[in-house]
Amino acid sequence: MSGTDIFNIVGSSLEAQNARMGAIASNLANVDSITPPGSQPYRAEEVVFEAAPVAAGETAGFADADSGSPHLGVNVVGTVQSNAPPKTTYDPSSPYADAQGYVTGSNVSQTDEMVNLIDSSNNYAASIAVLQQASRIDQQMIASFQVS
Amino acid sequence: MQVGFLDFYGGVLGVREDRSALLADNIANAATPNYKALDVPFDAALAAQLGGTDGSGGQTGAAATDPSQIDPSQTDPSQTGSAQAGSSQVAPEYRADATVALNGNDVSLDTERVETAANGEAMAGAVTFLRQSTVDLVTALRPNPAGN
Repeated sequence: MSGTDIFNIVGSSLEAQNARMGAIASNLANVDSITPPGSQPYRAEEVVFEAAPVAAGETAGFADADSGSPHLGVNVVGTVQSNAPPKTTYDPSSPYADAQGYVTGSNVSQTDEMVNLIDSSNNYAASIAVLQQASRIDQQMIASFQVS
Repeated sequence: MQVGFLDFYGGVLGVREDRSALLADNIANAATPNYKALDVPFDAALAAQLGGTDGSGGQTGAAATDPSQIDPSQTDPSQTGSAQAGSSQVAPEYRADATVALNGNDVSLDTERVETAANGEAMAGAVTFLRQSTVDLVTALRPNPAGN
């Protein structure tokens, strides 16, 4: 039977992709944010992933379940802010315009975020597929040993 | 143990389970920078599993390593330590034919999903054979196979 390993791994994956989608949603929400001169504009946030190392004796399941797996899922190690230059638009009538008439916006690239979103959602779907498949195989294996 | 097929199918299911955890791990880390997909060569892992059980079921040939996989200790020194951590049996190997993306990740979601599906079906198949072997054993143990 598939041990709890798979479910832990898939859980960490779903959690990580959820964090990533949260960051993407925040970026997309702020794609048109503008800031008054002098204050910091919104900068796109990116989530950083890292393969989770297995601590000794940490693995669930039976005794030698960790013999073959050096990792156990994925960790979110933090977020970094994009260093892309902020967008500026010429709009002297805006109350947020600086002395030259430029308004500073966020540095979010809408295209990049949409591509990220598709990648993240593919990843999410694959993780769910693994989850469904693992429980289907578990059910099948239990069913095949049922006393008839 | 005298009942050899229990050792054999136990070994098969153990390797399959380890492998399913590795595949789930690959999918979870499909967006992790510098992560390289890991897999165990099934025949070598099975031979190691059976060799350690001191069973009469260890009659499969100790097979050669799958040529499509390469030993991680020879390729990427940054992951060598983690790849061999706690592996009393067969160390997982990197995929030799994978394409490495710009962020240093070589996981192909399609490959991993296909491998996961194949691994799961093989698991269900092994259980079917195990069940049939058990049924045959119980039949042979009965004094009167027709009744009870």
